[in-house]
Amino acid sequence: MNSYLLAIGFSTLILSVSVQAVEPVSASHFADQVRPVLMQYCGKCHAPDDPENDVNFLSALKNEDLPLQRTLWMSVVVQLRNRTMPPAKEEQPNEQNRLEIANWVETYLRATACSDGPYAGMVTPRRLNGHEFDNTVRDLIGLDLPFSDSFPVDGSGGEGFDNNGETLFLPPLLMERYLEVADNILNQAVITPILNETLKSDDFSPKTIDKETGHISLATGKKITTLIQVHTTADYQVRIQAGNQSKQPAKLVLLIDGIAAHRFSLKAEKNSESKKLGAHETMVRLSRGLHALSLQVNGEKSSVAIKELQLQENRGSITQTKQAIHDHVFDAGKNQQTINPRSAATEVIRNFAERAYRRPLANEELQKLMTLYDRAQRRGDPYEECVKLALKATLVSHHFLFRIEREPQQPGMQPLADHELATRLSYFLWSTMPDEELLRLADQGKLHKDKVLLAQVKRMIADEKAWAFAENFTGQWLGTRELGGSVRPVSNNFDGKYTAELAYDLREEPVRLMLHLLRENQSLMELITADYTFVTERIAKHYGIKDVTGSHFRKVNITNGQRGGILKSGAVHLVTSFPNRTSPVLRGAWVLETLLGTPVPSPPPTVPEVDTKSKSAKTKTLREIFEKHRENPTCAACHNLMDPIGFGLENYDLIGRWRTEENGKKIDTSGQMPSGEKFSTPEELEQVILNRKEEFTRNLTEKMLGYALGRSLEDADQCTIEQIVEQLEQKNFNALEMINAIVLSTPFRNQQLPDNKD
Amino acid sequence: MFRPISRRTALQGLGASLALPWLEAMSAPATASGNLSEPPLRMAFLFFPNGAVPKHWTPEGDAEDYELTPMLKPLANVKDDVTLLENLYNEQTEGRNGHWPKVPAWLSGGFVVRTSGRDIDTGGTSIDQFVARQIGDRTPLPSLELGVDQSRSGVDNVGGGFTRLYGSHIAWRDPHTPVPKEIVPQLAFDRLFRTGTSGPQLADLDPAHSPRIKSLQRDNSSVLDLVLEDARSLQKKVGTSDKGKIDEYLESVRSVEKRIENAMRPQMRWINEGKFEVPRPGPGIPETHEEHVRLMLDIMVLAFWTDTTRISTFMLGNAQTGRNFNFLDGINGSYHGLSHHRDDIKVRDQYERIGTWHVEQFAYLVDKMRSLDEGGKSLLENSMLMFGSSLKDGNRHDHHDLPLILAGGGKGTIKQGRRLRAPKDTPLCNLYLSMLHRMGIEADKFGDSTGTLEGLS
Repeated sequence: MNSYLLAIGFSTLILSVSVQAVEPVSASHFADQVRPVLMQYCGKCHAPDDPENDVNFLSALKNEDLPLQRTLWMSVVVQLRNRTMPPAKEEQPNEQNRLEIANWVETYLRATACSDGPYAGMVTPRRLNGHEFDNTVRDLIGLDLPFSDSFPVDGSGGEGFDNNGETLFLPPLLMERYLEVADNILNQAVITPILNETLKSDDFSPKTIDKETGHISLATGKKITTLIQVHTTADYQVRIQAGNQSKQPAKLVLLIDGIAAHRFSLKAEKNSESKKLGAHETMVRLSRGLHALSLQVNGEKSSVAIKELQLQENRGSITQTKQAIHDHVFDAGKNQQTINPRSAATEVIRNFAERAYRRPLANEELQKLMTLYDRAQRRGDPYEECVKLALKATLVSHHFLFRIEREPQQPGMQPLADHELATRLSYFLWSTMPDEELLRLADQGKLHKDKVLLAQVKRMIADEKAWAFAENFTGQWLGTRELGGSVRPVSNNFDGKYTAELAYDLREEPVRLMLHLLRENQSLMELITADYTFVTERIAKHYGIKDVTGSHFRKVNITNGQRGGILKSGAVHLVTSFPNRTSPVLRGAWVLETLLGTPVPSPPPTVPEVDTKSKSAKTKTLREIFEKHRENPTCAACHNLMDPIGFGLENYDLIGRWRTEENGKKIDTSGQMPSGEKFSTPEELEQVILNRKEEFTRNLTEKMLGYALGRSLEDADQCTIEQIVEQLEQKNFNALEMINAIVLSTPFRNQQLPDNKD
Repeated sequence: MFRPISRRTALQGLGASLALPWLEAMSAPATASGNLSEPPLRMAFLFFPNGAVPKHWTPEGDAEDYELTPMLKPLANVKDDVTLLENLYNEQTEGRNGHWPKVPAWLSGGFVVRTSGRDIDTGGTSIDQFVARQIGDRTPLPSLELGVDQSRSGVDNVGGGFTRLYGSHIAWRDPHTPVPKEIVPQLAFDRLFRTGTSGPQLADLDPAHSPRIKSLQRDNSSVLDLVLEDARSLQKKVGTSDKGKIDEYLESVRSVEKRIENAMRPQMRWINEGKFEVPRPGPGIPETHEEHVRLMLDIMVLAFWTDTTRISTFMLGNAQTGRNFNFLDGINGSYHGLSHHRDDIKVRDQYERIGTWHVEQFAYLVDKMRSLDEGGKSLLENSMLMFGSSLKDGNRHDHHDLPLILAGGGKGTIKQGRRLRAPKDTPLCNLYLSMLHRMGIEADKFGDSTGTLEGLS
C-alpha cells in the first residue's frame, strides 16, 4: 500500500509536475504507448510467458488491466522514478519515456481509484492491546493501574500501529496472564468481608478435650487439624490462646498444609496445675482456597492446653477510593442484596458484563454467567466472592478482550450496529471503552447519524481522554514513542544534558501540538509550519528559550525560527540520529517516509563505509564527509534523494540542540530536492514540504485511517483516501476535519465481506 | 530479599505459604505422582543475533580435532562437551533480506513471506513447538520461551517491508503465530510454578472435604469452560474471514485449560533429589544485561531440572538488536551497527568481542548443566542444547555455514568434543530431524530436511 503513496510522492517530488489531466485517455494508450516500451526494457527478465517470472506486471494488456494489479503497478511507477529499475547494468529507457510512462500509469491508477465504487473492507476481531486493556479496566472499574505490564509486548503492523488486529496475537501465555490479571483486578476492586474466625476445641480433630476446662489438651507428639476456607489471598493473623501445662518447656508448632509455619516457645510452668493461658501470635500468608491448619506439640514430655485459635485477615484500612470502586461494581444490586442475593447478583453481573462487552447482554449469556455465581454459592462462598467468579469470566471472555463486529450475512456492505460504531469511535479517539453517553446514543439507535457522530467527535476530542489518541497516533506515526526506550543517545557525551526526563518531555511536544490543532480548529499544515511550540522548563533550557519555569507544558511563541513544528522538534532529531552523531541519511529518509509516505530503497549489501572517525574526518563537517561519499556514483543514486534533505536539518545536533558550527566550521544547511527546488535553512525546507501539501495530507490520511480501522489498507481503500484528501483540500486541511472525514467514511462505518473468498 | 525455595520444599505441596505471596502456586509439582524410571531428554535452542566473524569462529582445516578459535575461546572449559556444527544452512533464506526472514526460518527451515503483518507466514512451525505439540502435555509447561529484548514491532520499510515481529521470534506455533518470549525473570520464574490449583495435598484429610477442595480447584477451569463454550458458538456463526482470531483465542483458552488439567492430573515426571536453588528474582528487568542473561539461563536450567518442561528456546537478543554492550571493555555503539564493520579492524574487534561474550554465556549454561547430577548422569548428558545465529557473517548477512554449537549428550546418542563438518550446504533441518527422533518422535521429514544429520552419534 505504501508503494502507492511512494509513487505519488515522487511524482511531485522529483518532477514537480502539476498533475496534468491525461484526458482524454486513449482506450488503447497502454497497449500502444506504454507496454511496447516496457516490453523492450523490462521484458527480458519479466517476460509475461516465463513461468519463473513472479513479477508479472507485463501480463497486463490493456488500460483496464492495470487496476487489477494496482500495488504491483505502483511499484513499477516507483522503480521507474527511483531509477532502481531496470538495473544499472541494463539498457535504460530515455528520461522522457521513463517519466511519461510513470506519470501516465500513476494518473491512470489514481483516476480509477473509485471506479469500483466505495469499499469498506473487513476488520478482523481486534484484541485490546495493552494500553487499551488498561484504559478499559480504568473506565470499567476505576482501577488505574498498569495491569498489562505482565503481558507480552503487542506487535504492530498494517500502517505501523499497535492496534492493528492482524498482528495482535493471543498466545497461551497471554491467556494465562489474563486469568491472573482478572484475579488481581477483582481482588483489588471487590471488598470481601474480612475473615475472622475463632476455632474452638470442637472444630479440631482428633478431639483431645480436657473435660474439666473444655480446652484442648495436647501432649507431645500429638497433632490436631482443622480446615479453613480462605477467600482472598492475604496475610492472616493467627492468635492462639494456649498455655504450657508441664514443667518442661514446650514447642507449639503451627502447621499450614503440613508445613511448619511457626514454632511458639511455651515456657515451663513451675506449677503444672496453674493452667494459665497466654496469647501467642503470628502472621501467615494464605492463598485463596482450602487450608489445613494443624497444631502440634514438640518437646520433652510436655502438654499444652489450647482454648482457641483465632484467624483474622490482616487488611489495611479501606480507603474511600477502594470503597467507592467496590460500591460502583455492586451498586446495581445494593437494594436486593440482603433480601434476595441471587437477584441482586443478577443485576450486578448484568450491569458489569454489559459495560465490559460494550453492548446489551443476551439473556442466555447472563444465565450462563449466573451458573458461576451458583457454583460458588453452593459451596457457601460469601456473596461478593460468588459475584466475583462470574465477573472473572467476563474479564477473560472474548467479548471483553476482543472488539468483535457482526459479520455481514451476505457479500457486500453492511453498516455497523450502533454499539459497534460506539466501540470503534471510542477506541479510535480514546483508546478505551465507550462512555455512558456513547452507549446511550447507541441504545437509542441514534449514533450512526452524521450529525450525531460529528457532535460526538467534537465532544470526544475536547475530553481529556483524547490524549490517548494524540499520544498513540502521533508517537507511532513519527516514531517518537521509542524515544527514551529503544532510542537514546550515548549519554555520557553530553555531560548530563540528555536525561530520561528530558526525553519524556520531548516525546510530549509533538503530541501537544497535535492535540492543540485538533482542539483549536487549526490546519494540519501547522504540524510543519507552527511558529509556536509547547515546552516545559526542561525543554526550554534545551532549546535556549528564556523565561520558562516549572515542569508543566505551556505554549510559547517562537520568533527566531529555530523551533515550532515537528521538523524542528528535538524528539524527531533524536530518533533520526545515531547514538553518537546526526545522520543526514536517516533524517532525509525520515522526511520522505514519515512525512511524504515515500519509502526509500534499502542500502545495497556492499557499500564503502562513511568515514567519520579518521583524523582528517575530525576537522570536517559531516556534510563534507558525506559529499565525499556521494562522489561514488553507486552511492549517489540513492543518497542524492536523502542526504540533501537531511543537510537542511544539520542545525540540530543529535540531541536536538540548535547549533551553527561543527568541528569549528560553520554548518552549511543548504540543500536541494531531487526535483530541483533549493533551500538554505530549515525554514525553507519546511516551505518545500509545505508545497507538497497533497502528498503530506495523503500520507497522513492513510496513516490515520489505518489507525482508526486497525487493519492494513488495501488497494480498494484508495478511493476513500482520495476522497478524504479532496475534502481536506476544500477545508483548508483543518485537523478536526480529518477525524470527521474518517469517522464518516465508508470503511469506518461499514463491514464488507470480500466478494470471492478463497 | 526472597528466600530460596528448594525443590524438596516445593514438592511437599504447599497450598499456603509463609509471607511469600507467590508460593500459592507451588502446589503443582506435588501432583507429580509417578516417577519416571530414568530422566527424560530435554532440548533447548539458544539464539544470538547479528552473526559472527567467520575466520575467528570456524577453525582451519577439516579435522575432527580442532584448536579453539578466538571466538570459541570461552568454550575451553567445556570443549569436551560440545560439538561444532559446520556447513549447515537454511536454503529458503537464500537471496532474501539480511535479517528478518532468517529468524523464523532458523528453527523451521521455512520460506518467510515478506509482509507488513497482514499475512504473516513463516512457511513452517519451529522445531521446539513441533515437539511441544507432541510431548508437551507430559510436563506442566509444554515449552518455555525466554528472551531478553522486548518484541519489536513495526515494519522495516528500509529493510524491504518486513514486519519486525519476524526478528523477535524464533518460536512459531504455526506459520502465522509467533510464540512470545518472557523477558522478565520474575514472571518467567513464577510461571514454572503457577498452575491455578490450590488447596492442601494432605493424605489425612476428612474425605468429606474433598468435593469442596475439588470445586475450588476447578474454579478456573469452570470459568474457562464457560468462555470456551461461548466462543465456540460464535465460531460457528462467523464466516471464514473472522475465524482466524477467534480460533487463536479458542486454542489459547484450551491450551491454558489443558495446562490446569495436566497439573491436577498425576503426571509421570522425573523428580530430582538434591538441591538446585534459584532464588526468586526481584521484579522488573535486572540492572545489568549480564545479570539478566544469567538469570534467564538459570531459570531455564531450573525448568529442566524440575522437569517442568523439556523444551525451551532463548533469544539472547532480537535480530538487528542495537543494544550497546558498553559494559564490556572498549565497546561503544550499537551491536547491529558494529556488525557492519566493513572490515575496519577496530570496529570488527568490538563486534567480535560481543559475539564472544555470547559464547561465554553458552559456556556458562553448559557448565551449569554439567554440574547437576541426575541419577548418576549429568543434566547436560540428558539434554541437547543448540546455540548459534541465523547468519554467519554479520557484515555480509551470509547464510551459509551458520555458526552453530551443539552441547549435551542426548542421553548417550551424541558424540561430543569435536567438529562435525557436514557436506557443504546441508539443510539445518537434517539436524532437527535427528533431534526429533531422539525426542521419541517418529518423522521422515522436518522442514526441508533431506535426511538425518550424519555422524552425530
